[in-house]
Amino acid sequence: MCLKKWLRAVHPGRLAVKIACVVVLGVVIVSVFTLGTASSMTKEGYVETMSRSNQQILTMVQAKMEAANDQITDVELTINNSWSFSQYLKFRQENPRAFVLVYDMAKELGAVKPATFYDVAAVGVNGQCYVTNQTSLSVPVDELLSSRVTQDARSSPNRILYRFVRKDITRNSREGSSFVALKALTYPGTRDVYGYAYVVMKQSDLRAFFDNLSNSTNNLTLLDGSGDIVSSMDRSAIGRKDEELARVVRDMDAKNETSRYVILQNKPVLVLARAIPRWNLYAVSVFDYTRALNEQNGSAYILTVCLIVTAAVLAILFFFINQITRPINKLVRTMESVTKDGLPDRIGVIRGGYEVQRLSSAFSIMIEHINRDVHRLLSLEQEKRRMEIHTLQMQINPHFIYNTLTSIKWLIWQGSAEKAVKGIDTFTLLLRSAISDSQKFHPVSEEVKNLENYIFLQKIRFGQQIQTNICVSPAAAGCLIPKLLLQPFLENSFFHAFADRQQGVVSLFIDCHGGGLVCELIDDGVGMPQGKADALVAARPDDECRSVGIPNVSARIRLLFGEKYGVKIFSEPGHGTSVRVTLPLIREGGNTT
Amino acid sequence: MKGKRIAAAFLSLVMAAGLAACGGGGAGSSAGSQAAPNSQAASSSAGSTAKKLTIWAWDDTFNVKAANEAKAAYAKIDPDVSVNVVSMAQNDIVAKLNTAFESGNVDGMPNIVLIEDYRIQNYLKSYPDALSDLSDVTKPEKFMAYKLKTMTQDGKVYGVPFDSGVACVFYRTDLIQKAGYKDADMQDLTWDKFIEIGKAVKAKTGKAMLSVDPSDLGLIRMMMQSAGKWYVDASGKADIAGNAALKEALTIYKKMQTEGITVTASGWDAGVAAVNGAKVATAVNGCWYASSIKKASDQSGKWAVASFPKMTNVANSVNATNCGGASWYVIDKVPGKDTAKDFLSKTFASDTALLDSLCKDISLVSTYQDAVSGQNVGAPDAFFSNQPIYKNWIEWTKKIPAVNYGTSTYDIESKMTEAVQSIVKGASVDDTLKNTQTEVEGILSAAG
Repeated sequence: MCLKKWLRAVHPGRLAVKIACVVVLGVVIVSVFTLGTASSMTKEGYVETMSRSNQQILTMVQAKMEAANDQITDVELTINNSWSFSQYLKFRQENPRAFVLVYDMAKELGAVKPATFYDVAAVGVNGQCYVTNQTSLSVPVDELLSSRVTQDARSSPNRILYRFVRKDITRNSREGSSFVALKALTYPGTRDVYGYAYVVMKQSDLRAFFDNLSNSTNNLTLLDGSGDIVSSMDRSAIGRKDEELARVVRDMDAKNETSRYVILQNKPVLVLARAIPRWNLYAVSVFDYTRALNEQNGSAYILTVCLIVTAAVLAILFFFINQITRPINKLVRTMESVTKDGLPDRIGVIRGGYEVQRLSSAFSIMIEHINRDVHRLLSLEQEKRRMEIHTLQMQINPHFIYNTLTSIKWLIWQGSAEKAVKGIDTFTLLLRSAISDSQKFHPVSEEVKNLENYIFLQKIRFGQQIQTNICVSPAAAGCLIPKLLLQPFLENSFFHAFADRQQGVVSLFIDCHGGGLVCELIDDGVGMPQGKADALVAARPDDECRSVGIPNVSARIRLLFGEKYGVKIFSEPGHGTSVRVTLPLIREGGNTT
Repeated sequence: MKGKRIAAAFLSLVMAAGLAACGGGGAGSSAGSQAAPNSQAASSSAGSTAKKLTIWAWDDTFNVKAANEAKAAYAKIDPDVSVNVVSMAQNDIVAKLNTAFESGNVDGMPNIVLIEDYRIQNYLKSYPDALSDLSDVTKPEKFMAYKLKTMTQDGKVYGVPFDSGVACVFYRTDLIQKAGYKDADMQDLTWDKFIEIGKAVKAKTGKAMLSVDPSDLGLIRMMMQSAGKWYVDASGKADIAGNAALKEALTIYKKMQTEGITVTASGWDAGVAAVNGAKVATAVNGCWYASSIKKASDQSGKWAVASFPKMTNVANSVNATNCGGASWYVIDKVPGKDTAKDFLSKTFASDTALLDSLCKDISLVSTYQDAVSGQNVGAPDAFFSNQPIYKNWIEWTKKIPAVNYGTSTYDIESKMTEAVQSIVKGASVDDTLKNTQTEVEGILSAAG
């Protein structure tokens, strides 16, 4: 029972289920598209934003490095053009001259460099050296002079070279690598080198270029053309060679690209690069956007929100759909009960929604109209039947009267006046019974009296040869029966069954049987073929004058009581005829059982 | 009716869930923004104590190391306080102090800072409320007077004295012997004797006696103070042109140059390199220079220490002077003042065990009177020919003449380096000093 109820609740044809399906589908589609779009927009927007901000960061790094380059150039040129530097570096100077020179050198440098500046080391080819910032060389002078970077500077004396060195040059730096800007110092107009000026940038100096600009995702790195990582936020990477990245960056530089998506170390990354040509470096940002997006973790959040919203909308939706369809369902049930149980007198107006209310009130009004019409039709029909019965009774009477009067005339003609008087009396009784139309039904006993009167009248006409027996069961005696119903059958027996002989038996049995009143009239007359008997019953009134009563009676019974009741005739030529009239049991008081 | 109630309840439930979902995203930021005012409230209401102290000092081998040992000692006293020792260049510390004091904004400043004695007068006079009064931490009778004088203002002591800058002559016994002199010749030197030995060293070994730095006039300051004089007099007025001690110091300085017993080493590291690289036979400097000399471990046992030479031509000049030295100060407005004071009072201002171990670890010559009784103080030092150097230094410290360093030592010195250059180039000492006097008066009047 519960399952059935539930099944009915989720029946696919139900309005609620249909609406819910459409809405669920809609919400799911909207959610999926929103999620997809939002996720891709978030990703694109985030990568785009980060890319732009990293470009700006690289621009700032570039600007800082170019500003530093200007200062370094000033310092290098000052040293190159300084008389005191050249004197100090070219010749081994003794105090007090050295004392004065060193002071002048410091003063000249101080004029061009800021108070805090990278370590500057001026080294003469003869081993004389001067280092600023209260520090000293951490590598022997000879080693420094013979190093590759110094040799490079010697071969291009008019340029400032920027080189990554995998060792500390001054004692200030302690990270195992430095970045130097160096220049060979030459006599004016010649290429004879008397010394070198090194501007030594410690790792901390390099980091200052991108300090506060780096974050966990942009991986700012200074990369030199050969792939050496000169400086990086990731300190362990400093000094490592990253040729893969260098190749990408060089290619980007050649093609004038500022950003490119590549796979580095099996990770998809966005590489942004900015060449800083004077430094022979690239400022590179390797943006690991998948990691950054994971850190953001936006899609999971969006998904959760979508799911929650979908669930909430569904819950609300089911609730409201249920609210909407409940009156409709009630209306449906009401209408179903109308088809099953027949029309009620009226139905109540169903509240809960304007449409359903209007619909149910219209339905209710309609039912009232139908009821009213049906009642009117029924009463009309009853009236019509009454009229018909009346008409039929009217049809019988003249026929009977004619026959009876003929019989009495026959008696008078025979001269048996006493018999004729009795006949007229009986006929009078019969007529009174027929004419006194106060009620069309009368008890079986009354009908039997009428029949006896009728038999008496017939016997007057046909003599005593035909024997009649009437048997009425006590139960049937009180039942009601339409007046003069059986008279035509009796009449037919007398007129037709014994038309060619003077003797015969006619028996009438009236009994209650099978919920009905059964009247059986049996004669042993001439009989007729069964087909003719059936035709006799089925014939329309007035078809055949001879048997005018029988179809009338059959029609009367059907009209009054329905098809279930009626007349049946069984007959066989030479053996007699049996007429069975079946009526409902109507007892006095009018109740049909 | 019932349906509406259920609907309302359901809607409010959904909205609550929605709010909760929104709240989830913002939880981190809201927690963060709440934490900030809380911490501020905590620091302003309980501003005098803190669970975290920051100390700034320079020189990893000396001051920073000392601060770290003090931190370890204090951790046993109050383990709840975390101390952060930051090593910075002295110039950076000075620059940041100047900026902070000038702007009155101490954000990012440390609780405790090491300030050189030469500079402290300037801070005390220019920014009277910037540093905390540590009179209740520093007991005057426990510290050496010359040191206390630098940090006392209107009878209040503003710092905890740290290292003595007692000056001495570090000398290579082997080179001196090669030049024909003995250890006894190095005791209670005069500058004349010093030059004489230097010339012999130069002649016999080819090495210079001393390295000089054109931008650092420490030697001249030491000579002046050995006679109880400074660039300014006791009242803070410029004392250049009429300063006999200064004049004599400059004369000696020029003489050493012209006699060829010096070598120029530009900058601190170069000076150390000259000493470690055996380019010079002596180093005349504060006792704290010992840690730099000791870096050349191959020279262990070849060094000895003698008292500072005095100037024969100047009355009151003694065989003791000072060079540098610094003291600990508490920046008053940085939250955690009381904790900082507690830290100092339980470490540098009283902990003789700490000072004694610092004596061993960083060759600290403390200006704490009781430190002299420490067991490490009397110990001989193998690097310095098993000489009980700390004992010597402490004895000499007691003889250091107290002077007023004034407010502008380094500003005056920038003018003096010019003057020294002129004099070395051959200008008249008197004339040069007369000009410098005018310039220095200008500086001092500008400084207020």
